[in-house]
Amino acid sequence: MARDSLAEISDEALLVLYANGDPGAARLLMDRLLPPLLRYAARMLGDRAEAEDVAQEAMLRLWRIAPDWRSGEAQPKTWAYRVAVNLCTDRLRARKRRATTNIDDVPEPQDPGASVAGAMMEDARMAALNAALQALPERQRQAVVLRHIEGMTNPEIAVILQVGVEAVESLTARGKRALQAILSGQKAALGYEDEDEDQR
Amino acid sequence: MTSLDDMFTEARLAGPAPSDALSARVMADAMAVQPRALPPRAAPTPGLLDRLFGLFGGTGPVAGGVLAGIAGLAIGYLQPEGLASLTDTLLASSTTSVSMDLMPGFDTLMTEE
Repeated sequence: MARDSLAEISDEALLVLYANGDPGAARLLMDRLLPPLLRYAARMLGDRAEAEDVAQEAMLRLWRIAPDWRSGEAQPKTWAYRVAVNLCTDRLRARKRRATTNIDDVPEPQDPGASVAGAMMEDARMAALNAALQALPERQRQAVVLRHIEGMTNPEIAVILQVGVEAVESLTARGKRALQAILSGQKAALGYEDEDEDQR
Repeated sequence: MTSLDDMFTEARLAGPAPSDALSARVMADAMAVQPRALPPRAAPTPGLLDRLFGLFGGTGPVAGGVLAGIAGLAIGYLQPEGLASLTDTLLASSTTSVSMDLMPGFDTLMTEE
């Protein structure tokens, strides 16, 4: 099918077309899903190479499930995110296990405040945000990244994390508060004026 | 908007984009596991029976004709015993036997003296 005629088709319809042998559908679906999956994995893992592996694996599992896809049960994007979340969790746990088994190989734990301060010195807001995100508990980080950076809705995040919507609201709220606490006092250095001063 | 929300927006726009190498790997995976569309198969050549049935409109009409023939033979050969007993039962009470002597003097004429 022509690429232009595929542009308006839903992700689910593209997956069905792919399963029916349409090569153009695979390209368009990859263009839609791969960038957000890579962004999410990079935020969670803080490592570009590992993030690429996770994004590629999530897409591969989507290709494999395509012939057996049950229409209406889930959206391909949500499904792929759930795979990516689980893959990231596995890798983070593996890191912890390695750190536990061989304490000599573990780098000195990073102080979030020190990381943020270092990032500020380089005038890299994104580095500061990433460092602050890495300091959050894993579940809060997942919810904050999906909600505030990837722009997903709470019901979508609930499906991805397999928790209730109220739990998502709680995780994002606590995560955001923790980020504000970590980054507080650094706004001027990060190029933002103090909100308290603005309100005066 | 708070500064944290600004940072979120920047992060959304500044996230890593897939490299060409990653896109190529993902597409290679997609092509490797994609189900192949089956090529259209040539229609099979009709056999002798197919052509013969075709003269009568196909296998459906032929099967119908054969079934009708078998049913006709069965009706012709089998005794309708069930039907006879049914009519006997229904008509027995309403049948009246009447006997009458059409030639009352005939017996007398035949008597030899």
